[in-house]
Formats: sequence, C-alpha cells, structure tokens
Amino acid sequence: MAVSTLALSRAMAELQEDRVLAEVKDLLAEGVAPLEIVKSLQQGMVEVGNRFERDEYFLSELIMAGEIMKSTMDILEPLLSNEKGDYKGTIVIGTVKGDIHDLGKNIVTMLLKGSGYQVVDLGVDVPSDRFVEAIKKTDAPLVGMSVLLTSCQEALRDTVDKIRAAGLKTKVVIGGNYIDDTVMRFTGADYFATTASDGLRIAQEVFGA
Amino acid sequence: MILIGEKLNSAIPAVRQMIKERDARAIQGLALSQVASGVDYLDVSAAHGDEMSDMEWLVRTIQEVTDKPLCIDSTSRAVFSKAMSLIEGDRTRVMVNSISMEQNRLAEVLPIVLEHGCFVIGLTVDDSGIPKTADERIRIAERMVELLLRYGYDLNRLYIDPLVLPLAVNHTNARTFFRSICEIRHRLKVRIVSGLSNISYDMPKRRLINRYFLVMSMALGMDAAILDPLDPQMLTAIKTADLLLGNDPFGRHFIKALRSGKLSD
Repeated sequence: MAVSTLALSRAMAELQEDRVLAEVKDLLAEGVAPLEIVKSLQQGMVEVGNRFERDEYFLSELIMAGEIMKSTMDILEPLLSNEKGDYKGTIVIGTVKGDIHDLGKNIVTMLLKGSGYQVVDLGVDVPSDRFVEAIKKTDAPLVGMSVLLTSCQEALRDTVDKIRAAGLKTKVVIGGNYIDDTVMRFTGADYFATTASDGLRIAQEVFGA
Repeated sequence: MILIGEKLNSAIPAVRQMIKERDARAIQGLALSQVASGVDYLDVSAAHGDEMSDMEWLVRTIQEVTDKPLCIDSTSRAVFSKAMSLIEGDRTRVMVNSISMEQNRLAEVLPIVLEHGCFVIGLTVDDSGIPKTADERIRIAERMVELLLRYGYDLNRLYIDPLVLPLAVNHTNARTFFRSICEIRHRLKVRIVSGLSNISYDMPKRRLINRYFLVMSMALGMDAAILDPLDPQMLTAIKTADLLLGNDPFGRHFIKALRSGKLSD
C-alpha cells in the first residue's frame, strides 16, 4: 500500500476524524482510486475492531469509528462503480421477533460494513417472514440473527425453520451474549457468535474473504 | 466547559514570591502545567505589588512558552493598556477580567474591551455593592447587557459572573447563585462564569464543597469557571460532568483524560 493510504488507515485507527476526511479528499485529488481509499479505511476499521477486542478501545470509540466511516462513505459511495466487486458479499441481519435490543446487532453491523460487506439491516423485532423475504430478495449467502432475551430461543428456531422450509441454503449465524453450542443446536443454526469479532470471523469463513 | 486557570495570581503567596524574584522558570512552569491540564485561558493577576511592571513582566514571560489566550485580571485601565500592547497575535482572543456596573470600573475597563473587542467577564455588582438576592443580580446583568448592546458589543463574548457569596454567611447563598444562573441564561442568553471557591469560605472540607458546587452549577448551565486546574479531583469532576451533560461526543475527552491518568476515583 502506498505511503499516503497508510496514513489514512492509521488516522482511521486513531479515530482522528478531521484528519481522515482531509486525507480522503487529498487522496481523491491525487487521483487515487476510490476503491483503494475504501480498502485503506477498512484496514483502519479492522484495527479499531482489534483494539476493541483487546479492551483497548471502549464501545463509544467503536461507535465513533462507525460514524467516521459513514461520513467518508458519504463522499466515496457516489464515486464507486456499481460492480459487485465493491463488496465482499451481502449479509442480512436483524434482531428476532420478540426482542428489541439492537446494540449487539449495531456493533457487528458496523464492523461488517467497515470490513467491506454489504449489510441489509432489518432492525429489531423482525418476524421470520421478513428474514425469508429479505434473503430471497438479496440472495444473501449469510444471515445473522441477534438476540438478547433467553425467552426468544423459540423465535430463533422458528426463523431458521422458515428459512429451511423456503428451501434457502443461506448460512445462519445466531449472535448474543448467552448463545452457545447448545442454543445453536436447538435452533438449527450453522454458527454462533458471542462477540462482534466472532461475527466478522464467521463472515470471513463463509465468504472466504 | 471552558476552564480559566487561576494559578498565576499574586494573591497566592508562593506566586507573589516568584513574581517578586522575577523567577521566569517557575512562572513558566506554572503556566505550562495548567496548559497541560487542558485550560482554555490563563488568568494573570498582579494586583499585589507593583502591578504595572509585574503585569508587564508576567505577560512577556508567559507568552515565551505558550500561546494560550490570557485572561487579564485587573481594575486599572493603564495596566490593561500595557498588557494589551504586549499581546502577541490576535488581541480579540484575550479575556478581560472584569467589568461591573460600578461607575468607576466601567470608566476604567469598558473602553479597553470595546477598543480591542475582547471577551469580558461582567460581575453582577453596582455602586450599591454585591446584591443579596438573585433578582437584584438579574437586574444588574440586564442593565449590563443593555449597555453593551448600545455599544454594539457582541454578546457572545460576554460572560456574566453572578458573584457567589459564602455559605457560611447565609445557608441559601448557593441556591441564590443557582437561581441566578438559570434566570440570567434564560432571559439574556449570555454565558455564565464563576470563581466558585468563595462558596466554601471559612467552611471545613472546602475542596469537597467546591467540587459539588461546580458540578451542580454545570448542570444548571454554567459555561466557564475560574479554578485550580491542577486539582485532580476537580478536573475529574469537570470531565465527568461534561460527559453526563452531553458535551463530550463519544466520551472522547473523558477517555483521553483516563488514558493520560488524569481521572481519579
């Protein structure tokens, strides 16, 4: 990577918002391809995720990183071509029916977006039909279901059943603080995650990127 | 929260000694340690001694090591003129401490403020003395705003200080101050500053009282304070209150203070 894009990913990792925006504009002015710029932002974002994982960064800093990423994408998105190659792949995500907690879902969404995935966020209290519908529409190879309440295990299982009943081969990852191997088997999901970076690792495995 | 560091004041015996001995290194150290604590202004007062030559030496000496804006603390027009003539860079960054509605104070200091367009602290006192009630403070602040408006002064640069009287004298003095903050901000839309520490005069545990008083005043909308930025508990209280009041996006300043070891439990 060129020296200039290195400075950008470093500024991103250090959460220097003004510096990041200035670097993006400078790089564009120098004629660097928007996709290259996005890649170096993603590298910075991955570093932010690593620091969060190591308890060096706090949640508010992870959220700030997401905000910085968002403001750079406001500049960069219109410049990117519509080629599919711009994204590593599409992931559908939502908090299951009966649960309105969105913090975990939002963190993993930010991390996935920052790492180059297109994330279709269905929000909270999402009925199984809407998951099925969204997967059909986007052809997403991976769907993530977030949950906090233990009382929503039935909703998880019901949603996985509906997806399978619709004949969809999409991989299913369930994520939440209390989720473990037993819950995963009960619901029929393919993967489980208890942290945002687990979610990212699973995405990398499913997409091979 | 805007912090005005109060340490460079000849009222403090050790500082008076430094000034007397022209100990530039000590004065510069005191300036730099306050800057490192994150102050926005350095208050400079030389009232105890030969004010003119002391102020001249202080302004020169401090500016050798920092470009933090100064808050010049005096009652004398000649001292202000001298200090302003020595300011390097943008003079509109200077804060004048202070004017009041006392006639002789207005005559001495207001012309300096208007000439240079600097920030100014306005005390709610007039020729009948420091008022006892919140209503009287509000009325003095109103008169001051009217006066400044007549001169076309930018009211965004005015900080009203609704003078704190000691709790020891009257147990409702803090409450009077709180009401003054709320009413003056609400009615006049100007900023509020305070020296705070008078509240605890002749009480035990002064630092404790000052700290809670500061946090409560911040919650009611106080914008700035003149204080000792080297007091770690005070600094912790400010960072925490700013975080809780929504003045610290993503908790950046709070977390930064934590990482540099400036937060104490």
